[in-house]
Amino acid sequence: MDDTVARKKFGLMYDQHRRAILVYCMRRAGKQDALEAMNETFTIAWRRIARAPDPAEALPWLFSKARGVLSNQRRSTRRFARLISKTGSLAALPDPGPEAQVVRSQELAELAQALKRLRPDDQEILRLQLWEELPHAAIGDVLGISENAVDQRVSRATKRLTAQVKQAPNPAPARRMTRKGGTA
Amino acid sequence: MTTERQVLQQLRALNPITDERTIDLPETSSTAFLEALETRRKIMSVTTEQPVEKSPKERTRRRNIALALGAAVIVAAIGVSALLVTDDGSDVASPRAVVEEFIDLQSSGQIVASLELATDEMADRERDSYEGFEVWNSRSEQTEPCQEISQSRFRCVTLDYDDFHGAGGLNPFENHTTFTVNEAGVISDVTTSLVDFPAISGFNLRFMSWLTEAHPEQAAQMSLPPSDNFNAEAARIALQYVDEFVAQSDDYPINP
Repeated sequence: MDDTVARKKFGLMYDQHRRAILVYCMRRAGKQDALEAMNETFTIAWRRIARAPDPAEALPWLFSKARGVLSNQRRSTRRFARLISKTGSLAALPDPGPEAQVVRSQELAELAQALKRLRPDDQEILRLQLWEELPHAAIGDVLGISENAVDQRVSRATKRLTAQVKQAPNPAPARRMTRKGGTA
Repeated sequence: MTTERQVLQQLRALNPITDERTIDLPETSSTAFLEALETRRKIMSVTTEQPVEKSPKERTRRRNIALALGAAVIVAAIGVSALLVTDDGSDVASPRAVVEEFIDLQSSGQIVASLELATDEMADRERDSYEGFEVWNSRSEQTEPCQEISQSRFRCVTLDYDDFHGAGGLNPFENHTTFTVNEAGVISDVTTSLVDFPAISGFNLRFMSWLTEAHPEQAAQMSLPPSDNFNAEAARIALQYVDEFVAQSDDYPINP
């Protein structure tokens, strides 16, 4: 691919999707890790730009790359070089603060624990559906499986999560959840 | 009575960022991003060149070169006195020697034994997964001398092999790893760029999806790396079924 064409394609992809990729990463990691994961995701995207989907349709593909990056991050105790993250005005990125991650509702806290007890793939498929609000076909693109397989796995993951919730001891009454920037 | 619908509604409410517009983006443009990448490439020898598909012949050639370089590194590691003598007279291996010996052990399949060169913390953290990799007969072959990032950090490029991914025709896969070392040993080996990650990840996902359908009881007992739950038993289950998976797959093995 011609370098000019490649840079234009990458620029469109970067401009259209970097917010979604950063948010995807922030939903699954801390701010600094999310920034690094976003940068690494677009680093991979640049390496693969010749075979990348058209920018308008590239979001599931980018999610799949970000997912891999985050998986690698979780294995590590050290993070890769922060050179890129130290450039520009990244320091201005507001930290949502610990309160953004704190679930004050006991019921929802139990749900969060139940979610963690699911297999990672089950957790991810539910997050992709409910947090990223992706259609099943796009979830299939992220996970590398068919839409039918997504249908089945969403159904199974939902059943497993519900079963986990029902097994939780002392179910608490529903309470209000307060999260900065959230919908309480 | 908690219904599935209620659970899904609550899970939606667990979303830590419900309005993406509340997140301010870094002001780095795509042009600046690519310039930063170029800077990093110059510093850390990370390629930003557009990918070029490698033919099987080229992969074979690259593999042969890698094997030759790996052998040269091993010979050099043996031939060069890598031991330093401290003031109290005790022998202390240089950080580079520790890293290269770590890789040498993994080159010969001694994955778990390589943890002898790690700190206790890393050994405890990684032992289960390393046992799994040893079941897979994993090997890491160094393709070039490790690049010194600092006195305690080295970036090394290896070609990795294992029997599980080998069944899918994916061997070898190029791995860039940053090793951090202190006086007690290797602290961490962090994959910073798994060049063939999409192929590896895709194979893993498809295998797990297939196993879940074909052998759900076994699938429920195991996870593949990089899951923290990957261990020797998971590796054995994966090896037990990978040929069956490949036999039923239209996509594997690649490069038969």
